[in-house]
Amino acid sequence: MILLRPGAEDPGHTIAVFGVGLVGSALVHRLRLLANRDAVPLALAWADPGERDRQLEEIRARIAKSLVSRGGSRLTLVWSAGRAGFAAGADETAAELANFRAVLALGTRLAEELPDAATRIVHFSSAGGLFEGQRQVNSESVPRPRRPYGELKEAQERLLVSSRIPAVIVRLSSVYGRARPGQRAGLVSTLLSNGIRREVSSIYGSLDTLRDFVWADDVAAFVSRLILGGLEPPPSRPILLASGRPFSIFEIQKIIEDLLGYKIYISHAPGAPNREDITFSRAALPPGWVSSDLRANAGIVYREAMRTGYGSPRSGLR
Amino acid sequence: MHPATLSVVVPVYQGAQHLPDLVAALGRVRARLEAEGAPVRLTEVFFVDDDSIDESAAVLAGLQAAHPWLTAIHLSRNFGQHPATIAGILHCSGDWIASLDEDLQHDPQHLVPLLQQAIREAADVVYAKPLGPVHESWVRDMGSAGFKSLMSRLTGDPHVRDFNSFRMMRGGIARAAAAVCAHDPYFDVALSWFTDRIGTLPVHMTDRRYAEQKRSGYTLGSLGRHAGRMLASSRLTYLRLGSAIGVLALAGSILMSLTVVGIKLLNPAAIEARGWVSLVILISFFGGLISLLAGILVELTSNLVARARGKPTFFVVDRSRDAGLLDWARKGWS
Repeated sequence: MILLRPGAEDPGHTIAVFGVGLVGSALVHRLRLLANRDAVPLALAWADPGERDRQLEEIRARIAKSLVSRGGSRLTLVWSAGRAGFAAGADETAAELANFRAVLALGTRLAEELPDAATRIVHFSSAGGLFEGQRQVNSESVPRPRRPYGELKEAQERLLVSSRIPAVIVRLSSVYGRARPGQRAGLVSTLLSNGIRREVSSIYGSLDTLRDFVWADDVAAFVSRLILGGLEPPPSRPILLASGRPFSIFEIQKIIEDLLGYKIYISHAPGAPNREDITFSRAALPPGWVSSDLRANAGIVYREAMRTGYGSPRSGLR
Repeated sequence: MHPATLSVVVPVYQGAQHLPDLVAALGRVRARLEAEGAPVRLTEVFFVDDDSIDESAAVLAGLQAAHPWLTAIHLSRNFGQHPATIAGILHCSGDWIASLDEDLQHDPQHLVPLLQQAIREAADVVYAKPLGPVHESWVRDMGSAGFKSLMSRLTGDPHVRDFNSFRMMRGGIARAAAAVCAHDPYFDVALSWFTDRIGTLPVHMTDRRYAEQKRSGYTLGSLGRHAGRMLASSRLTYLRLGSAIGVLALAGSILMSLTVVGIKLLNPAAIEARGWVSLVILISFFGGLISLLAGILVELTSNLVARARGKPTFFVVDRSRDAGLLDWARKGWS
C-alpha cells in the first residue's frame, strides 16, 4: 500500500491507498501530481493473514501519527486492491474478502480513535463482475453476479454500506492501461504484448462479444478530483465509470493489428463462461466524467510496452 | 430468455425540422413493442450529429434530456453519412441495429417488419426497397437506380442494387463491418464482406424534404463522390477482363506461331509477304504477355487493397437466437 502524506496544496488530508495495481498506481501518480504529496510505500502481506494484521497495525499507527502530528482533519482510505479476476475461485475470493474486512476494520478503528478527522473510504468495485451478462446497464439496473468474483464485489459493497464510515463506491468497467510485469493485464494489454511477441492470445469470448473499457488514467483523474474535493457529501449511489461505448473483441483485435501492422494470433475458448456482452448506458455515467479514446490510448500502451521492454520478443524467438 | 435488443442509428446533418417527429415515431414503436410483450425491445437510439448545418444539435440536446433511451453523438467535423452511420453503429450494443435517415423518408413503423423479415429469412441484413418513386423526380430516381444497376454489373455483386440507408442489420455483423471501415468508406460494401445473407423488404418511402422544398440533401457533386466511394470500395470484376484478354492473346499468338511454322515447312510458297506474319506473332505474343502480367498485378494489388481495407479471412456469427423469435416474426406487424 502507499501512504500519501499531506502536501502543501492539501494540508491536513492523509490518503492511504491499499493496492497499487493498474488503478491504484495511476491514482497515486495523479494525487502526487495534483497535491504535491510525499508517497511512502508500506509493505502489506496480503497472502499471510498473521503478517498482514501486524503490518496493518503498524500502518494504523503511522496514519494516526500523521494525522495527529500535522493537525490532520481528513483521512481517505482507498481500496484498489485485489488480485482476484473474473475466473477466480471461491477460495481466492474468500481470501480477498478477508483482506478487505481487515482494511475496513482498520478504517473503523481509525475513525473511532480520531473523531475529529473526517474519515472516508473510496472503494473500487467491478461493474463487470456485478452486472455480468447485462447490457445497457443504467442507474436502475440491479447487480446480479454470476460467479465468485462478482459475489465478492457485491459482498464488499454490502460491508461498506453497513459500516459506519461514509463510503464512495466506484464501479469500473474493464480497466486498461500501462500494465507492468506482474500486474494483471486486461484484454487490450494482453493482446498487445502477445502481439508484439507474436504469441497466441487465448481469450474467453467470441469475436462479437462486447465489453466496455476505461483508461486507468481517466479513472485516476476523476477519482482524484473527488478525493481532493473532499467527498462532501458522499454520493448516495455508487458511481459508474464506463465509457458507454462498447467494443467487440473483433474491433479490439483490429485496433491492435492496425497498431502493430500485422495480424495477431487469437484462439477462442469455445463454450467459455465469459462470453456474454456487458455494456453500459451513457445516461448512467456521472457528470464531469470523460472517457478518452481507446484507439489513441492503445497507441500509448504500445509505445510504453516497447520503451520498457515489456512486450519485447524473448531471445531465441522464432 | 431476455428480449432481443434493437438499436437504431440516425445520422443527422440538417434534420432540425424533422427530428421531433422522428423521435415521437420511434417512441411509439418502442412503446408498442413493450406493451405487446414482444420478444424484442427498442432499447437505444443514437443520433449522430455530423456537424449539422442547422439547429439539429440544439434540438437533439432537448430530445436527449426528455428521452433517456436517446443519445446524441457529435462528430468533430462533417465526415459524411456513411462515417456518421459507422460511428453510431460502433456505439450500439443491440442484437439488431437499424439505420435510417433523419428526414422521415424512412418511417420507423417499418423497423419491426424489417426485423421480422430478417428473422424469417435467417438474413443478416435486410434493406428497405422503395415501392415506387422516392424523390418525385424521375431524373433523380432513374439516375439512382441506373447507377446501382451499373455498379452491380461492374462489381459482380447483385446486392448493390439493393443498397439503401434504411437497413436492418444483425448487431455483430454491423459492428464488425463498421470496425474495419477506414478512410472514405462505403459501408454497405464492407457489410457484404461479412455476409451474403442479404434480403429486401418493399416499403413506401418519400423524400419529404425533396418533395416539399425541391431541395435534396445531396448535390450533384456529393452524389458523384458517393458513387466514386462505392467504386473505390468495391472489387471491380471488369478488371479481370484484362487478364482474360491477355491469356487469349497469348494463346492465340502461340497457336498462330505453330500454324505459320507448319505452313512454312509444308508449303513455303504459300506465304509470300516476308516479315508480316512474324511481326503479327511477336506483337500478339508480347501484347498478350503484358496484358496477362498486368492482370496478375491488378489482382495482387486488389488483394492487398482488400486486406488493407479490412476484408476478413473469416468471421463467426451466432444466429441461434433467431429460433426463439421465429414465431413472433411470422405474426407480422401492421
